[in-house]
Amino acid sequence: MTMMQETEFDAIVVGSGISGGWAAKELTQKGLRTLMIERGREVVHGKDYTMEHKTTWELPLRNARLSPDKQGAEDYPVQSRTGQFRESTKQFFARDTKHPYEETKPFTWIQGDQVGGKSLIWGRQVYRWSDLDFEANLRDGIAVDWPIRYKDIAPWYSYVERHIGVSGEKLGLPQLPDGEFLPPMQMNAGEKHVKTGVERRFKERHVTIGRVAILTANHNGRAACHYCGPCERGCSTGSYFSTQASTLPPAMATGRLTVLPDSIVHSVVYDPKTHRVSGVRVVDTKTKATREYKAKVVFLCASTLGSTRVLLNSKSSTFPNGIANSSGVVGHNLMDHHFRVGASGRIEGLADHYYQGNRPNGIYIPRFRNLGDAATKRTDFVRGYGYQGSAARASWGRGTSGPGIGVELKRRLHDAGDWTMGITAFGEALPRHENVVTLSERSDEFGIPILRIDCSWGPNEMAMRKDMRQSAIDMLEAAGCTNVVGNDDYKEGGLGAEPGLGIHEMGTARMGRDPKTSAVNGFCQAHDVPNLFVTDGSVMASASCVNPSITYMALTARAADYAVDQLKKRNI
Amino acid sequence: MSDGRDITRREAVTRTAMFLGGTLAASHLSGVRGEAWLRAAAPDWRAGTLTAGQSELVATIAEHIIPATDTPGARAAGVNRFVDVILSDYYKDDERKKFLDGLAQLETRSEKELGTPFMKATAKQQLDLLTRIDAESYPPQRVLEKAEPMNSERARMRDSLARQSSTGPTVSDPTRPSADGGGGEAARREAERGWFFRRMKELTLLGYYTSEAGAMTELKVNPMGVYRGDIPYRSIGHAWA
Repeated sequence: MTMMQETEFDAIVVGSGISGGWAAKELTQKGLRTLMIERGREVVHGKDYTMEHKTTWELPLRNARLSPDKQGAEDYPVQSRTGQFRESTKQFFARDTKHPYEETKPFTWIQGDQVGGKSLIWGRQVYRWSDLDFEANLRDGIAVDWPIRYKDIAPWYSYVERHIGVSGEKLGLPQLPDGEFLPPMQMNAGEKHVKTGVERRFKERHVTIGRVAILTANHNGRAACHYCGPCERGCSTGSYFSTQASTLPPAMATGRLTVLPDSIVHSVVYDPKTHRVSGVRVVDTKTKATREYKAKVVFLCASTLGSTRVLLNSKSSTFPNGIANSSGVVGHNLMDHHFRVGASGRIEGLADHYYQGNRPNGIYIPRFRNLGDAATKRTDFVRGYGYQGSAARASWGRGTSGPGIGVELKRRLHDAGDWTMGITAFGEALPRHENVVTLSERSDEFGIPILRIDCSWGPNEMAMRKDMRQSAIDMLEAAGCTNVVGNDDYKEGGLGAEPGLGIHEMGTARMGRDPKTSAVNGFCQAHDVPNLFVTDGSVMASASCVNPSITYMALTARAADYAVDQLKKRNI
Repeated sequence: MSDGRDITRREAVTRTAMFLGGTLAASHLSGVRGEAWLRAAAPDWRAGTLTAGQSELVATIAEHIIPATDTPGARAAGVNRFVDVILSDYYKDDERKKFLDGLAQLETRSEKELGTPFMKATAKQQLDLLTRIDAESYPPQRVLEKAEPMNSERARMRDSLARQSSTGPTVSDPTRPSADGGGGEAARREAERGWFFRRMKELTLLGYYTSEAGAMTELKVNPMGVYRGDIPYRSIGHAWA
């Protein structure tokens, strides 16, 4: 990763996470000299995974959650709201005091601040979207219709899956298209038990192992998973998808990639004479010096809210409300998946069963509501949800739940305890104009206006949550679980299941056919500026209920292919 | 990935709508924490919070909770040092004070019921007193759940399952308030009585089973290598640490 003084490139990619890594790989492999700009620090594959494979006793706090009421979270009042923010993972989250924002209502913006972005800490669950999703807005008369359908993106899903490696089980379901899978991971005895019970009672429901961007076999020069468990600490064998493991190596191998860390993009520069963007303005986060880089094409891959912030802050006489925003939709229709609602229960009769190894994956229950037929139609809400979860046997932690000390306690805790199954729903949220991000009057230390986020769940989400909780109870009871308890962590006006916590923020520069009602077209190309592309979650016109990252990858690869073609044809 | 690894508990989460412009304490994670760990592991270890007497008291209570058998107990596993790290580098002032007050109250109770400081009592007297306190410290599960939902086995289990499923950066979240656990001033008061001993036992189990002695001699860490989803329990014969 040479730090060149060069300032002119064929392409600029803003951001180095899931989308940015894919843009850099595709553009360099197609011959473009590319600059990838990352606001955060360098993270070198392997060397900088400082917590990888550390034993608990090597961690002073034994890998404690760093919550807001404890020491260690002082500069992270937002990041510490997620349980993923721990002693072993803190280094991959942004300091909130460095990258602040305002929230009118509770909205938890989880941010990365390093090369690789959130690709280092994501859950790696990958599910293809289907036409049930791409036709949803049209069918329901909500927001704008997607300008693409499943057939447009299906080849790109395959292209992406073949490169990153996805393990999973084929089901042949129209609402959850199969991909090009490596062998599935195994379910444990508890999960198999629940699967049998659920599928016996509910013919239209399926319990399958999670589809995950983690290798169950050696793949493209990367080793199969060794089941150490916590992927989020970094994986030096590259047995999963991250920028460092999967997209950066082939991009670097072209010799055409320059990576520029510690550099935050202030704005995209628009040239009114050519009606094109000429490049980007960047602030060095260490020296605060400003610099401009030029390119023939610019890809914004700075995360949904990051890219939206750049668009809104790129003001000119042509675009007084931000570049690519003649429609005025940029910043509106912010979505996330709503979750932290489900159930858990005890599984009886499997005392002879156990498991070995740390599987970084759980089970998945695909959507079974509103599939387009009368049988699955709901009158209380539109769209649907799926579940993720797992079964496990209790360990020594159960010793804290009641009386008992001494030799008796120690003997008791030597044995594995009861089996428990838990499932958590992930629900589709609707795009709503009033869920909006704008620029605040206040700026960060780099002189860039910060975002003000005003977002909340609507009536459709709240109605859906009731069904998400009840269906979870119903399924666990159908599977013969005892002590089944439903839960819903949502608290009106408070923290618990607030938007943002799902870390699937989407929608604030949506794609569509009409330049008056959307920011980009079906190729993620700005309607207003042909050499500006946005290829992260901001372009999503609806949210589906499945994890979105692989769709960002596929859209990015497709957009890069289109952009290079347009460059060759001298259309941009 | 085991349940109960989390050592925090539910607290009210204070929301601030605006994160800009607050007073920023310098983050002291890597530097200070690293030093704390070296300190705790060194032969010439010195506590950061506990006095020599308090440290000995903590080690003695911990050893009664998890005694040495054919495997090491809590004292050999250095649980008192772990408790000191938690008090020094993890708890904030109010929680640290509450814990130290709890230790002092144990002394008071020993003087009253045994007529002697705890450390001067016989091992049997100590164990009898701790057994009584233990029996008093666990109100019905529903009360605990209401007062400290994230200390309940149910919440722990849910967290453990969510974490194990690894389905997203945020699926697990052990210390966040749960909607169904809020409220309950009476429950909170009732739960307050056993707070110190429950916390002491929690830190003992955590400190012990995540130590090398607890995780590799008494139990075994679930090893990396392969994943086998369904094997006979007897082929392992113990819980994974």
